[in-house]
Amino acid sequence: MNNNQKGFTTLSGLLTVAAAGLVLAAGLVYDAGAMRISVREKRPEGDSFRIMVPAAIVPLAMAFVPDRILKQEMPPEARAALPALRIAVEELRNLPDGPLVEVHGPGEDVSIALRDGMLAIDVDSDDEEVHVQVPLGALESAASHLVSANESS
Amino acid sequence: MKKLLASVGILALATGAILAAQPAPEERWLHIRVEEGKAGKEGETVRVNVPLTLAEKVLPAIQVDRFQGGKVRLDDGELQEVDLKVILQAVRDTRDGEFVTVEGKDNVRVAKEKGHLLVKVQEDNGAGAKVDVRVPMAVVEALLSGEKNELDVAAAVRALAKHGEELLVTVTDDETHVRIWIDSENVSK
Repeated sequence: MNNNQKGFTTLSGLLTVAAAGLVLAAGLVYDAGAMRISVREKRPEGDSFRIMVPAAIVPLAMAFVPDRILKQEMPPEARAALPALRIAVEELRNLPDGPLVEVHGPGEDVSIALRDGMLAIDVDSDDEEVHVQVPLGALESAASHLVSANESS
Repeated sequence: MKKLLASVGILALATGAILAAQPAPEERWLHIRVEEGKAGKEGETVRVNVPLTLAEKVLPAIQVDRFQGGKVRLDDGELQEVDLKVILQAVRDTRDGEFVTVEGKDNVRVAKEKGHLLVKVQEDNGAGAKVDVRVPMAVVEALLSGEKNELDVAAAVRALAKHGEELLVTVTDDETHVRIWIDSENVSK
């Protein structure tokens, strides 16, 4: 094998590993699902926007926030509720799809439900329509991170 | 030896098949429905559906003020002069019947009936709010199973999970209708 052939083999090997890494990463991102947020103002010429973010970003983004800052900024009430929140989020995974909370009133409808492994929050009021869908895995990851940040010294 | 191994294998398979055939325990859901608004006018409706397993696990983790570890601590003065456990013991050991009847502008009835504690209140000679509470005695016992000055809500929820479909509370007045019940559906009907 000459040097050119050897270099080609090394390069192709590296490319193969990189491609496999990309496929694996894409698989993980796909598996984690996506967060969807859509807001539509109902007034004439009102704004509306939709964003879809891979849920895999949640743990990644939270990793950049130092635990010390999270702990400092967390209100005491939220701190007290964290253990219960983590358990609740873990338990949501075991539940079938369905509505958890529904509020129907004059001028506003709110619904919090489990839908296809996601927590779906829908608000439909006279002024605007908001839809949020968060994969339970992302919620679980965020809750775990907040709990560990709170427990860190 | 081969026969023994084969027998053990068959036994293990049969046990596995029997265990697999056992139905999973049915999930119980606590439902709360509040309907507000006078007849003919559009009001607000709130529906909450919570699985009891979720409540069982979350309640002990809540540590807020007087609600700690699934138990509510009663303040000094609140029911301090009433020994609820003694009253409960007396009620449990008594046959079905009516224990408290107050008749007047407001009518109150406390009774024990078929393993349930019943409380009925009717205000303003029946024209005001009506409250009906029907709780299995086992749930009341679990609620009072802690220290003298505390209510064990988590234990009550665990006890509730062992019961079938139950209509626990209804409150009705001019503008509000509240209904709290448990069943095996994850959607309130």
